[in-house]
Amino acid sequence: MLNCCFVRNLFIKIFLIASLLLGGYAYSENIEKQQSNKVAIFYPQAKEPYKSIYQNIIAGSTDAATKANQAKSIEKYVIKKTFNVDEITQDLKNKNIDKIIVLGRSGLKLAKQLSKYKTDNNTGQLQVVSGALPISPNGVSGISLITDPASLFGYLQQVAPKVEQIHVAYSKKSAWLIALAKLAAKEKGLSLNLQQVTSTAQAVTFYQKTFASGVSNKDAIWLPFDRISSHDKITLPLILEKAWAKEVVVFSSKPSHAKRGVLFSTYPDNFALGSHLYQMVQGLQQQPDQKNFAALKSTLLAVNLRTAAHLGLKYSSKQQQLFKLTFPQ
Amino acid sequence: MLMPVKQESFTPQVSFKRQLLTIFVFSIIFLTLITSILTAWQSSQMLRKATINNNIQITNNFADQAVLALLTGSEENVQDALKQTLGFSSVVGIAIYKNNGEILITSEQLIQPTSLDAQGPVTQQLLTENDSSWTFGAKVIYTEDIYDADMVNPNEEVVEQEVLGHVIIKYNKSTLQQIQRTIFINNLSIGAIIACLLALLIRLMINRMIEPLLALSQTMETARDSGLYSKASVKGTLEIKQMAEIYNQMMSTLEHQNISLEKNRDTLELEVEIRTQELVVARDSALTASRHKSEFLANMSHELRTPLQAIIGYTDLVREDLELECMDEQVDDLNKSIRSAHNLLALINNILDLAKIEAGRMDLYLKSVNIESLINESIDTVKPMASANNNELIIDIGSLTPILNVDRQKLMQVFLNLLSNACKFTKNGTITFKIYNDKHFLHFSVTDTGVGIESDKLNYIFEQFTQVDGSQTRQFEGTGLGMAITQNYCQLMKGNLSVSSELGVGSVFTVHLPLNEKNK
Repeated sequence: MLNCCFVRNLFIKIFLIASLLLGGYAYSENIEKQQSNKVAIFYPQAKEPYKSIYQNIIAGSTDAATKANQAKSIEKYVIKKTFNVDEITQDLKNKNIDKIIVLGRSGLKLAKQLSKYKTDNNTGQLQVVSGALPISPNGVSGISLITDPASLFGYLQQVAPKVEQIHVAYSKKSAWLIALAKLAAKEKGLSLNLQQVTSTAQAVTFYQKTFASGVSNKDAIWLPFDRISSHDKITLPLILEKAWAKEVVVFSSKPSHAKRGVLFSTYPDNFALGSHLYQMVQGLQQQPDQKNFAALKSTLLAVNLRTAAHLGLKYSSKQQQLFKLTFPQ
Repeated sequence: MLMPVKQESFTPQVSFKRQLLTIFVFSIIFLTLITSILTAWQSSQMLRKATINNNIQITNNFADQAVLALLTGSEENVQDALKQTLGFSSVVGIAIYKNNGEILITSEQLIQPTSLDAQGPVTQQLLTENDSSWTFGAKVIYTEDIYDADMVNPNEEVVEQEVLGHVIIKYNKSTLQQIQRTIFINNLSIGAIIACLLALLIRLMINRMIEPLLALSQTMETARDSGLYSKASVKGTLEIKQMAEIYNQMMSTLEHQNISLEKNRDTLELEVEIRTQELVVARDSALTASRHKSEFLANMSHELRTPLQAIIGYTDLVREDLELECMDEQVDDLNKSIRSAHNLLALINNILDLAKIEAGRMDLYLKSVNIESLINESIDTVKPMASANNNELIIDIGSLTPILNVDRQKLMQVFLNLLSNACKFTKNGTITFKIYNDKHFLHFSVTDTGVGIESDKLNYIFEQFTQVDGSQTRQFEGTGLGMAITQNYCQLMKGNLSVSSELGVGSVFTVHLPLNEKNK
């Protein structure tokens, strides 16, 4: 009897110790995994309406994290006007964060310094993506606020299905976008009349020649966000005036142009942008050495119905449901 | 009655109303003019500032519109803006300059290109200013486009700017000057009209205010001229009402006082008249009584004298009979009786004379008289009296006309009264009788060394039944009628009796009688 009891007690003790050891290992492994999935979002301190934009983007990222069962992995940081990149990296290291999303101009500045820090210190773990800026590829991964031509051309075919040719003037800085445009045009069966310009004057000349060349309702003019070829005060009034007279479709990458009289433009979907940024930074982790840069794909369509009416374009109510914004409001 | 007041103190050089009007009108004109000028000046300055700001705005706008033209180097791109800007009436000339100083375009009425070249890059908006024009300049700046400001914070955007050239616009000042002139003229005109209207209004108001005062003054003047207590109507402002009320109260008081004075005067006059009448009655009564007394005395004296003379006559007959029978003791008694009767008769005669004089029945009986005989007769009568008191009688007769036309009896009575008086009041002394005459008067005097008379009692000696000292009545006999009769006789003869005396030394009685025409 005594032997039987002793063996049974010993067995129970061994079982309990083994259970405790196994449970502790499993817990520590889980914590480690959570820490490595943490994403830090840096955004500038700003007043409304920019504060809401940043918060929307952050909400999108948080939503994406939640969907990936990483709800508690998002850490938000406000970027001060003067920041110390060493302190920030040390802080990130302490918290075991290696994925970073930066927003705004200050965010881009931080991203560039972090890239430099990474090169200098040969630490290959920090993954940074930039958002909420109309940037061109500049060595930093991220999503530009400049709409992806594919989205634009898609909207064009919905809003003005008769258009076959797109005329566009661009500067050297927008060449990456034109490369995307060429692919998108080819995919959607549209032809592009491209003109690279080095000055606004050349752009004006191009547009004047275009209008003088017998454009029709099969032609459309695309105003990319290009500081040389497309100017709110110089080229836009000229194009709007001529296009109105010749009933030519004009569409723009710049959101406010729909309000000013182009047929349509796009607004960024900030919530979706946040989600894309989260996904992009996660994707970078998979291929840490590869740069990733994208135009804005998550957009909302804004249509000027007065211009549409002038151009003789009519939309069904189903089509109109796709228009997130219409002008005049 | 109101007291007349000096006219000058009532009439100032300029009336109160005119002074008030002058002060108010000048003040208003001064105030209005100053206000108008200041307002106009301030408006002009504000207008000038506003015009300058406006010109700067026009210049900046044109500079914005000139961007495309300078970018493309094409005049065509700025023609519309040029027309629009030249459409402003004050704009007289426009020029657009490239960065290298070349002119891209100029309007027809333009600015000297040489002067513009000298300006170089425009840093100030107002370049030059003279009396007739301004020249403003602005840089033509090409600014890079930015992403939508409602999507990306513009403060975070790095925007590049490029100066493409500059524009210069010349503005005419004539419009501004015209407006400034109009403002000045309008302000002054309005100010002048307002000043006139205010002056008229104030004139009306002052007239209304002054009217009661003038009425009050008029009432006072009327009261002064007429002497009536006319009342003023109480109206106008508080002070004028008070003045009018006080004036009315004064008039009432004056009227009451004057009525009271008149009543007192009437009462006094009445009382004076009553007293006067009473006095007249009393005087008449007294005169009548005196006359009656004199008449009574005259009658009584006559009636007394007749039986007294019978007493004397029969007593004298009895004495003579007793003398014959040698009854000497009885004769002496009868002599005393006869002497007393003679004294009584003399007294009665004196009373009779006095009564006659007072009753106006005494007449003068002038006739030629031997004056020396008259003197001697009188001396003879007085001598026993002089010697009785051991007095020395000195007779001093000067140049004397022998025969004079006088009333012998009355003149002798005067001699006797004066000499007997001197003998009576002098003891162991000297009595001097001095007499002379000249062409017009008979002068005579009686000087004694007797008791004398106190100076304050000299006048009493001529009153009836009076002697200087009552106690002396006992010392010196007499009725007190002598001097009264003497003075009355002298007055009857139109002469003059005077006396001078010193107590204890003596007295001098002097008479001056006028002589009749016959004596001359």
